[in-house]
This record gives sequence, structure tokens and C-alpha cells, in this order.
Amino acid sequence: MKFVPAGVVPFVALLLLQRRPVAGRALLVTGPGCPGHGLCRSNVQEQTRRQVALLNATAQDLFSLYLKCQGEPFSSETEKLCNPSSIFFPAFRVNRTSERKEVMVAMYKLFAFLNASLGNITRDQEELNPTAKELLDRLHNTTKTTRGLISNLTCLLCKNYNVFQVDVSYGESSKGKSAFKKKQQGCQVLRKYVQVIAQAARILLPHLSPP
Amino acid sequence: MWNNSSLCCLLALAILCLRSLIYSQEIGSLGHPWNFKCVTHNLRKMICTWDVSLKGRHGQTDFCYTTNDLPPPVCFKTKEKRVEIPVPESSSTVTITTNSISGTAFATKEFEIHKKDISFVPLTPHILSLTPDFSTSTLNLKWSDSGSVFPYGLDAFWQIQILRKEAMEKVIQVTYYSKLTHEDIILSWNWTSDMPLECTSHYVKIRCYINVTQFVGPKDWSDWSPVEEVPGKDTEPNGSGVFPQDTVVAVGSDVTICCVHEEGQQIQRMTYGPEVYPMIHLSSRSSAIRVLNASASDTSGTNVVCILSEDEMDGTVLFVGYAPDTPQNLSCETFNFLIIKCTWKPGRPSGLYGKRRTKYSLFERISGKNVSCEVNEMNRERVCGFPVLADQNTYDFILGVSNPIGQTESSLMVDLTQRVHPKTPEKLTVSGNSSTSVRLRWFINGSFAEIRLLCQIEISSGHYERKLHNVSMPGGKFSIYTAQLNALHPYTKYQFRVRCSSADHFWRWSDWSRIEEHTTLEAPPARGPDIWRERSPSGRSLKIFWKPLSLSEANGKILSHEVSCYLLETPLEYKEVTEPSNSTEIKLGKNDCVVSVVAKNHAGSSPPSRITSVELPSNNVKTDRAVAMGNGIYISWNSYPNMTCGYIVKWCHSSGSEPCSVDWQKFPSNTTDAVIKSALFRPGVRYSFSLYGCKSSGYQLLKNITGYMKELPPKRAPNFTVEETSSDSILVKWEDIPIEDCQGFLEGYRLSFAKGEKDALKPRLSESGNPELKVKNITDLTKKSLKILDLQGKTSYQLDLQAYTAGGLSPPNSLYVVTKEDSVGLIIAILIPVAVVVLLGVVASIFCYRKREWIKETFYPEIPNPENSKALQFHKNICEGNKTLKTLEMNPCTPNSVEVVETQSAAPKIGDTEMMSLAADATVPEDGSDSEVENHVVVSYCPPIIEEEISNAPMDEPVGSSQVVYIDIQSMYQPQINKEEEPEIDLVTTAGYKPQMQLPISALKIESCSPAEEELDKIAGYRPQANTNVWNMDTPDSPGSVESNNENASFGSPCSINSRQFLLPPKDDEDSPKPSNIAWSFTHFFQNKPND
Repeated sequence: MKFVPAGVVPFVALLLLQRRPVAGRALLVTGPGCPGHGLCRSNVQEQTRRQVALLNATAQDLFSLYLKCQGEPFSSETEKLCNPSSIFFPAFRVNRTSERKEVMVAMYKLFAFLNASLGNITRDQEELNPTAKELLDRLHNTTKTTRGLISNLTCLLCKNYNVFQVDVSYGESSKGKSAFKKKQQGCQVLRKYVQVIAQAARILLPHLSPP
Repeated sequence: MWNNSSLCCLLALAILCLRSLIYSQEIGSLGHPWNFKCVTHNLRKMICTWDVSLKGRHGQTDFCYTTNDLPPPVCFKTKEKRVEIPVPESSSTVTITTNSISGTAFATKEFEIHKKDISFVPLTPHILSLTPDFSTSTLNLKWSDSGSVFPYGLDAFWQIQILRKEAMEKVIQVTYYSKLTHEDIILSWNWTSDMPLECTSHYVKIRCYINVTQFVGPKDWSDWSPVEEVPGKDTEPNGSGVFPQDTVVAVGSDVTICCVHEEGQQIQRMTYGPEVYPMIHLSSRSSAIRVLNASASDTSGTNVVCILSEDEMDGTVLFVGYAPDTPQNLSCETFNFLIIKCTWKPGRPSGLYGKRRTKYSLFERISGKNVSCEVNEMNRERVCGFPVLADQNTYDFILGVSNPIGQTESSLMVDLTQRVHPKTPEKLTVSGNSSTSVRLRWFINGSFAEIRLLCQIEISSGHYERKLHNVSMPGGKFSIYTAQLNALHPYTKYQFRVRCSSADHFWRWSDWSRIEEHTTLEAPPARGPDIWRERSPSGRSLKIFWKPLSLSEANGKILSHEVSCYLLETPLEYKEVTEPSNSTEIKLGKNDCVVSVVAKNHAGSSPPSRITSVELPSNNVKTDRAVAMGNGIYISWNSYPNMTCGYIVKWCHSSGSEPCSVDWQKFPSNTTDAVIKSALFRPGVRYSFSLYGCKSSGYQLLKNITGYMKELPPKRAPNFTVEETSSDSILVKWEDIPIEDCQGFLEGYRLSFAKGEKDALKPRLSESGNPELKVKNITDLTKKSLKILDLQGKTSYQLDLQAYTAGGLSPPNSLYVVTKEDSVGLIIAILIPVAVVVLLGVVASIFCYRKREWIKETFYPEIPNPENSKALQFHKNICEGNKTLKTLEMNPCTPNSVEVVETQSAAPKIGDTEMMSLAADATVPEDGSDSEVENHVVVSYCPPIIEEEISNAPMDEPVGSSQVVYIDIQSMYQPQINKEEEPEIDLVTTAGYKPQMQLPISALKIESCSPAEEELDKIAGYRPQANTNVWNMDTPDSPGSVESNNENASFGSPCSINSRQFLLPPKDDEDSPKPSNIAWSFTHFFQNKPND
């Protein structure tokens, strides 16, 4: 049974397309379908692979730094406090044998969710930890990378599979919650992110590797 | 027992009833009212109550009361036993008549009520509202004081009680004071709980006391109001959480944090930050922890976590920080008269960030305008802008500071015209078409129309000192400002920059503008060059030198120099020498002229510099020494009164192979000394100066001076050699050091010497610390050699020679010299002892010769002539011709045989030193004691005078004859021993030799004769003539002397002529096969004595 947390509003996300194929520069597609040729750069596949690898490489450090900045007992009671079972996180049920299109769509859903969650976490940490410059920088950079990744995935989906609409579910916003809940929610999301990004890297990289 | 007690109880009850009945009858009969009491709540009316003793039903009661003011009584009927009547002024009489149901009066009772008997109890207050503020854990209580019913100005005291938990434990009770105003006032009171209101239920009740001083009756507190409740979250069905949520508290506060959970759950533990705290049970669904003296939390706050069963967790964040510090150094200024910028330092950080951060607002009192300040928390200095208001120069600012913990403020009143800090001037440009002036233009972004500006222009160049030029000008609105600068140097590259401030009330300079560069135009050189001339050695040409003009004098780039020569206004020669040459030569022949030099640049020519070529003769020009000053060379000279136009000191720099470059310096005529400085001077280099005096007729050489800028130690030591070496002296010679190696004026030489072998690792003598080091200081520079005396022969010496100047010692030159051997001394050392020995020998010989008789008498007393002895009759024909022989000669003479026969004596024997008396000798032939001697020695002997034949008649066995040759003197020195004194010796039967010296009797120990000695006696044909003990150096009595093996101790021993050895070895040497032959016997010496 699929867990749908309260407040999660599934909605149809319009694909973020690249008018100019620059990673991180995404534009909203307002038309009914994919634009014509010249949508993607030639190296978009390699760039996507590197972006996933980069996120995978930096995820654990980001999580550790996040825990450190939240104060005790977040570091010592991580298992209990940051147990992601109580939050919504998009299902990522693909493996190496899955179809490439299916992997791409799952990836898109994952990183769209992450991008929104990282935005929430960044906003919360700017409020709670305005002096934690390194954490904020890492959050900003990770958010930027996911944004670029979304653009590239948008491009690949559109170019290769003519997919320009993907249903995306977002998590519960932390706005209005108590400081403790904000910390906890960010912790839960990032912990799950560490786990899933490793899996995504394993699965996505073979699909993105040059034939 | 039980019956007795029950009976007692019944009895007691009956007694009580009886007493009551009796009492009732006492206070009134049946139905009479009693226990009449009156209470007032508002001081105007009072409520009176009474009791009626009638048990059954009764009808209405007639109630009448009278007061002093109202004489007719007021009566009315009532069914109740409670009436409300006015409070009397002083007293009131009340008549109460109890009626039966049918209306018949039972009883009437009259009561007298005095005012002091009336109680005053305020009405029970009523809580209008109790409002909780969960965020601040504050309860707000509201109630009415009901003051309208009381006179104005009464003091009212309100007692409020706070209760907590289900058990309604009292938390606090406070008394609130108010004054009644004859109006109904809603009173309000806030209470902040030390525990979040969500944790558990809180209850409030209130009562009052009104202090009516005029009221004489008893006064009392009102009853407590009904309890008002604020239910906690633990009473809500789904209420749970950790409280308070996101609360901000001050550092050092005591904080209670509770965890409310659902029914059935258990709290495992609660942590505050990393620490687990003990829990306080509040209810079945709520527990709390108490944090005392909370310390400042991290930026993101301190987490409080409640860990429930089944791994459920909940938490909150507590932000512990400081109240805002008072802003420091608040300062406001304007940089453009549009915005007022106020800055301050925030002081101690609050430790609170984000929405809990410290917020600032700027309030201007005069205008009433308020501005909220957006400040950067990360910036150490806070900035807030306030708009400049029209027609307002004075501003009274209040900087309000607040955060969730507290607030503070700081104020400042400023006159804006006195707080002008203009912006940095922009667009600076420099223009000019002159060699000495420029025009500057710049722009300032701001409206300064109401003030004057003071601008400062910084003028700097690489060659001149930095200058500041102030310009005051009226301010304008976003205007361009200009300034003219004069008196600049021609052909100079200048850097300009500008800053401005308010001219009337200086506050602060603006920042400097960017630097703008400008080079002024050229101008003709300011003066002619400094010139000098020198005649060539041949005297036919004149070389003219000039110094380059300084930048400030050249006023441009010097292109050439015009050199001309005039003789009485007649030009003889003209030359134009282009740069960079600074000399030229003109041919004059034998003539003299006046040389003129003019420098030229693009702008024109300099005034001419003139010098005459005439050189006046000079006699006896001396050469002096200059004094090194370290940074220059000090020279001095006498004053020459006839030198009217000063002095010139000329010198020459030479560097390597290039020709010497002439330099000079001119001094006025009143100068007698100068320190010549030049960047070209080098330490340790000798410079030669020439001092010229200037007269109107020409220049005259006055003296030459040599000197150093700084004297250094000589570069090297002089080369030196050893010219001559003897057994006790070394002569060394050295060479001069070249002047370029001296590096200073040579002051002397230092010769150090000490014993020492050549060793590469040896340090210098002066550093060796050798105690035998000797130093010779040679200050006479003409001396080039030195003889070092008093040395030891055949000894190695190390010599170090150093030269020295005022700058120090040169490195040493070392030599190692070995002195010769002292042969004369050696010869003398050998010859003198030899000569002394010879001399002593001669003297001894002479002495002995002269004293021979005495020596003879002393040491060798005369031995009777054997010729006179009948026992020894020698044939006269034997060796007749040899009567005069003084020495024994063996070969020429025919040896005779003298057989000495030793007899085996039965008498006690004395050892090998045994002596025999002459008497005994005489008896030898008779005793025939040697008859048993088996071994006898036959010695070839040449008797010089006599031949003694001894027959051994008593011998039992015939033995071969043995020959012993004795020196005849032995018989001559036969000791005369008394026969009676030595009776034992008489018994000795021996033959042969008789000792010439008498041994001490004590030494004759018969017992000591051993068989070995006897054996020796048998083989020994000879006996020593003296006691060997006496020959020893030790005393005869010492035991050592007896046993001594001293072979030298042979004085007095007879010697064999052949072997010149002792015939009788010492006793200890009996085993030795050969006797020692070391001794030289005196007997030989005396053998030369002519035989008497």
C-alpha cells in the first residue's frame, strides 16, 4: 500500500526544459509537447552522470554536517530522530534491469522531490543556523546541482522518449512547524537522500554510460 | 462494661439537653428569637440574621427597628429569619416578634445593635476571565472590584491563589492591592508560570479585604471565589507534545520543560541537549524536567527530546540567549544630504538569530518618524539609514533595540550640517599648459548647496615632498568642482588626488579620490652647471668638467652643454657637447682663458657658469692624511686669507680599468674643514684629494690629502722569510704590502711566535691561547726585519706576522722554523766532566803519591820481608836479575813451584773468611794439617822475591803438590796477633796464605761451619786477607751485610796475576763456576811501590 503523507499534493509537474542546453538553467515548458531538435547538448548524458556522481559523493558529508549543526542529540540519536519511515519520500523501485525510460522517470520524480525538500531545508537552516556558512553553502550547491540535474533529465526524457509530463509528489512543507520538527524533518529527508542517491547512482550510471 | 459506658453517654446527653432547655428558658421562653447578628457588605445596608428557639412551624415574624435618626420604628413582616436594614449611624433597636401560623404572637424580643457589633465582610469577588497565553506561560486574571458600592479611596487587598495539578497543589498566593474609586473597575493581573501551561491544569481563586478605617466593627476577608481552571494538554484526549515550543529564555534562567503524551505511553527519558535530566511527575500523561541556570544555546537552539516507549520521540527547541546590549558608539552622518546613515556597535551578541534576532528601529523624536532597520547580523558594525527631512537640520534619534528577551535604546541628537561626510570625489581630471600650474576638476555625488566644502589636494611626485593644498569652495548639488594649482616645478611628473569635507564644521574627510598623474611643461635650466677644469700634463689643453644639474635645476631634459673660452671678451673656442657627456677638452696652447659653460634644454639655456684656466704656482705642497668618518672623509686645512673666492676640493674616482672620473666640491672662503661624501666612496679604498684655493687671478694648489672613508684591516699580511737561524735566534725579513691591499694607513706589524710544530689543523697563534706566545709589535714602518732572540736550540717555532691599520689586523702569514742545535754547549757538556774527572784523578794520584806512606800504613801495613823468614828461603839465584822488578812478570821468569798443602784440621773451622794468626802459620809445617786435602790447586806463580816451599809432613796420604804464587807483600803485612788472645786459632792447622787483617773475633762462629764450608776449605788454596764483611758498604753487624752478594766488595782481595780476578769468590758465590771480575783492586796501585 502506497504511503501518502498528509499534505502531499500530487500534481503534474511541467517539465523543466532547457532552451539553452546549460545544466542548471531550466525553463518551464508551457507548450503541449517537446520542442524540436537542439534541445539537448551533446554531452548532456555525461553531464547528468557527473551530476549524479557528484551528489552521491557529497551526500554523506552534507548529512554529517547537517547533523552537527542541529546540536545534540541529533548526532547521537540519529537512528531514532532521523528515521525516515514517518515522512514521505518518493518510491524508487527501479533496478539495473529496469527500462531506461522507467529509470529516467523515477529519477525525475526523485530529484524533483529532493529539489523541493532541499529548498525547504535551506530555508529552515537559514532561519535556524544563519551562521553555519558551510552548511548553507553545501545546501545551496546541492540544490543547484539537483536543479541542473532536473533540467538534464527533462531534456533526456523529452529527447529520447518524448515525455514532457511527469507526476511528482512533494513532501510536507515544514513551514509553520516548530523548530524541532523542522530540524527533524530535514534530518529525515537527508538521511533518506543519502541512501537513495547511492542507489540512484548505481542504477543510473550504467544507463547513462556511452554505449 | 459496655452498658456502663452507654449509660454514661445517655446521661451526659440528657444533661446537655437539660442545660440547653434551661438556657433557652433563660434567654427567652419558647419561640423567642436569639443569636441576632448583623453583617454589612457595603457599609450602607446590613444583613441581620437570628435564630428562633421554636422547633415547630411558626408564622410570620414582625420585625421592627428604630434608629436614632428615625424615632418612629420601621416595622414589617417577614417569613425569613434574615432581613436587610440600613446600617445605623451609631446603634439601632430591633424588636422581633414571632407569630404562630395562626398569627398569634409567641414571643417578642428586643435587641440593641451597636455599630461596633456589625461585621464588615466584602462580597465574594467574581473572576471575570482567566486567559492563558501558552507561548509565554502567562495567565491573565480579570475581576471587578465592585468599587461603586464603597466610598471613594478605600484600600482593597486581593488575595489570589494559583493551584496546579489535579490535586490542586498550591503554587503561589499573592496579594494584589488596589484603591476603590467608587466605580466598578475591572482589575487585571498577570502571572507567568515557571511551568508551561500546557504541562498540566492550573487553577485560580481570589478573595478580597477592604480596609474601611472609619468602620468600627469587625472586618474580615471575603469568601474565596469559585476556582477558575486552565486545563493542561494532558487533559485533552489527543493532547501531546513537548512544551514550551520554541521558547526564548535568558541565559541563567530556570526552565521547566514537560512532555505530554497519550494515555498508555511511558516516558523513557528526557534529554536537554546531550544530558539526561531527572523527570518530575505531573500527571499520568505528563512529566517535566527542570533546567537550572540555563547556559547560552547554540545558534540553532538547544534540543529537548522526550523519548517515549516504542522508539517514539518528540521534542522542542529552547533558545537561550541574552537580552540586547545597549548600542555603543551610535553615530549619524550624511554623505549626500539625502540619507542620514547611522552606525553603531551592537555590543555583546545576544546569541539569538533568525526571527529571534535583535531588531533595531530608528525613531526621530522631532519629526516622530520611525524607521525599521534591516541589519546584517554577520556584520560587526550595524548600519541604518534615515531619510533627510526637508527644512530640518537637527535630528533627535532614538535607536530602539529589542529581542524576545528584552529591549534597550540609545539616543543621539545631531546637527546634520555638522555631520557631513562627503562621498569620494569622482572623475578627477588634471589639465594644464604651463610649466608651473595645473587645473583640477572633480565631481561629488551629493547635494551640498547649504554648506561650503573644504577640499584637500595632495600633490606628490617622486622627487619632491608630498604637499597638501586646501581649497574652500561653495557646495553645490551634484556639482563639478575645480581648483587651480600654481608654483609647481617644471617638467615634473605629479600625482594628484582630492578629498573633501565640510568647511564650516569639519567632521570627516571623504575617502581620497583615485590618483591622477600630470607632467608639467619644461622651463629653461634654473642655473648654470657646477664646473671645474684641469690642465693636461703638457699644459697645452684644458679639460673642462661639469656636474649634471639636478632635476629641480634642469627644469627639463638637458640636451647639451655649450662650452666656450674667452680671452678678454674674445672667444677663443666654442663647443657644444651633447648629453650625456660631462666633460670636454679645449686646446689653449700656453694661453689662459675664462671658460663658460651653459646647459640647454627644450625650453632654453641656463645662465653661464664661468671658471678661469689660470693655475697659480704653489710651493712645498704637503700631503696630509684625512680622517675616516665612516660615511665620509673628513679633511681640514688652514685658513688662507688671500683665497678670496673659496676653496675647491678635487678628487678622482677610479673604478677598475676605466679612467679616473674627476669630482670636486666647492667651499666658501671662510671654511676650513669639510666632510666629503660621495656615493662612490668605498671603504678600504684610498682616495687622494687636492685642495685648491681660489683667487681672483686663478686657482692655486694648497695641499694634497689622502684618506679613507673607512679604514679596514689589511687584506693580507706581508710576505716574510727567515733569513737566518741560530740555536737561539731567528732573523725574519718581510716585504711591503701594496697600498691597495692595505685598505687603510698602515700602523705597524705584529709578529707573534711560540713553540709549535707544523700542523694544518692548528689555530692561529693569537687564537691558540698558547701561554708561551710572545708578541713583537713593530711600529717603525721603515723596519723590514727583526731578530727574535732568546730562543731554545733545536726547537720548532711558529711565527705569525700580521700588518695592522686603524681598521684592524690583517690575516696572519705563518712560518715554522726550527732553531739550530747548540754544538758548543754539547761539547762543553762532555768535556767539562771529563776534564774534572781527569783532574780529580791527577789530584788523587798526587795526593796518594804524596801520602803513600800514610796510606800504606793505614790500609796496607808493611808485611815483613819474607827473606827474613827462615821458613821461606828462596834461592837467591832464582830470578836474581829481577830484584828490582816492581811488577810481577810471568813470562820472562821461570816459575817455581810452591806447594801449599791444606791439612784437614780437626779443629773448628772458620768459613771462607777464616783468618789465621801468624803463630798458627808458624806451626803449619809442624801440624801437617793439610795432609788429608785431596784436592789442591796448583797455581803458576812467579815469586818476585822469594819462593816459599811448604811441606806438608803430617799428611797421611801423599798428594800432588800445588803451587800458589803470592804477592810477597802479603807476608809483609802479617797482623801481629797475640797468641794468647786466640787460643783456638792455635789449633788450626793450615798452610799457605795467612790473612793480613784480623777478623773480629765475634764474627768467628765455629758453629756456623757447615760441611759444605768444610768442603770448600778443602778445595780452597787461598784465603782472603781481609774480612769480606768489612768490604761491604753496610755495617758489619747487619745481617744483610753478611749475606750480601755485592761483587764490588772486593777491596783487599788478592788477585791472580793472570786473570786479575779474585781468586776467592764470596761465600754466596761458591756455586758459581767463575768468579766475578768486576773489581779493580787497589793492590795494583800499590804494586808499583818499589820493593823495600
